[in-house]
Amino acid sequence: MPLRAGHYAEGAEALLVALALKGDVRAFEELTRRRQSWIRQLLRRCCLDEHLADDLAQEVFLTAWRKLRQLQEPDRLAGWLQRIAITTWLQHQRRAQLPTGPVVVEELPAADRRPDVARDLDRALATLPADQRLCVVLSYHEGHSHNEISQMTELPLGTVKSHIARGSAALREHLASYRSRT
Amino acid sequence: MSDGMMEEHDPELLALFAQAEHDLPGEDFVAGVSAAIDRARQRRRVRNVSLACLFVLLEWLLDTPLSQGLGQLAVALESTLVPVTTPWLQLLLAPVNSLAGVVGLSLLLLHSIYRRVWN
Repeated sequence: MPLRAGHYAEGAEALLVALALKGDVRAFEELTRRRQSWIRQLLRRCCLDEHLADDLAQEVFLTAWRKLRQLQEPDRLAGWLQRIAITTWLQHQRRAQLPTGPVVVEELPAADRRPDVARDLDRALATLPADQRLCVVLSYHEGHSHNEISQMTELPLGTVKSHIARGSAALREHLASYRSRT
Repeated sequence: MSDGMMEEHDPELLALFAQAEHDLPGEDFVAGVSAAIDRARQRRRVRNVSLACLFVLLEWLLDTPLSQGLGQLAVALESTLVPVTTPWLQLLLAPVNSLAGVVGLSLLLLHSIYRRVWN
């Protein structure tokens, strides 16, 4: 039985997943509402383009809606969504044959509304090659272990470790002005 | 938090990543996702209706040849492979002494080979 309109916001995530599995679009909308900011920010950190990130995030939620039956355990929605997001990003990178090197800083969209830390972090991330950036984001932004990152990205563990070590060093250098402030 | 936090992380970088986090307003985005889901559902509905119409049309067009073909197939499947005159032996061999029996046994054999190879 569907929930009453106001009750979706209070519903537990597993319940909303169960309702969405039965075709309840409003339950899925609530799940999207709760997770959208996190997924969009993850993709923004990966691709450094707000509009592209939002398009990819929409693709992520659409894929999630279509493949919801593949989610074995409803309480693992977050990790499942994250995997879809990373796969979507990697597929987009391959499909669009995006340059794997650093992004030219001048090409970054002006984002005056964002706090300075976010803007400067994006600028620093833009200097990293795409694979290195993804590993650093998954490690620092998402808190994943090297092993988990290796599984998600299908990169060898040694490569992941070196990407994170080099990426962190480059970020430290670019964000040196923040060291005294944090 | 996963094991990732146990591994070497620069605390200052971690702090910067945390500071860079901010909630993104989601109503427009959610509306966009809902609209995309609606479009996808509509496309699926149109596809299903088209397939159903195509099926009905084919069924209507091929009604006579289909029923004739099925009738001939049924007769062919029932035909005995080795003529047996003794009634009790005929009954005993009935499951295997026909094209249908051979086809059925072949399918069972293929299935068991498939399971042995892939399991």
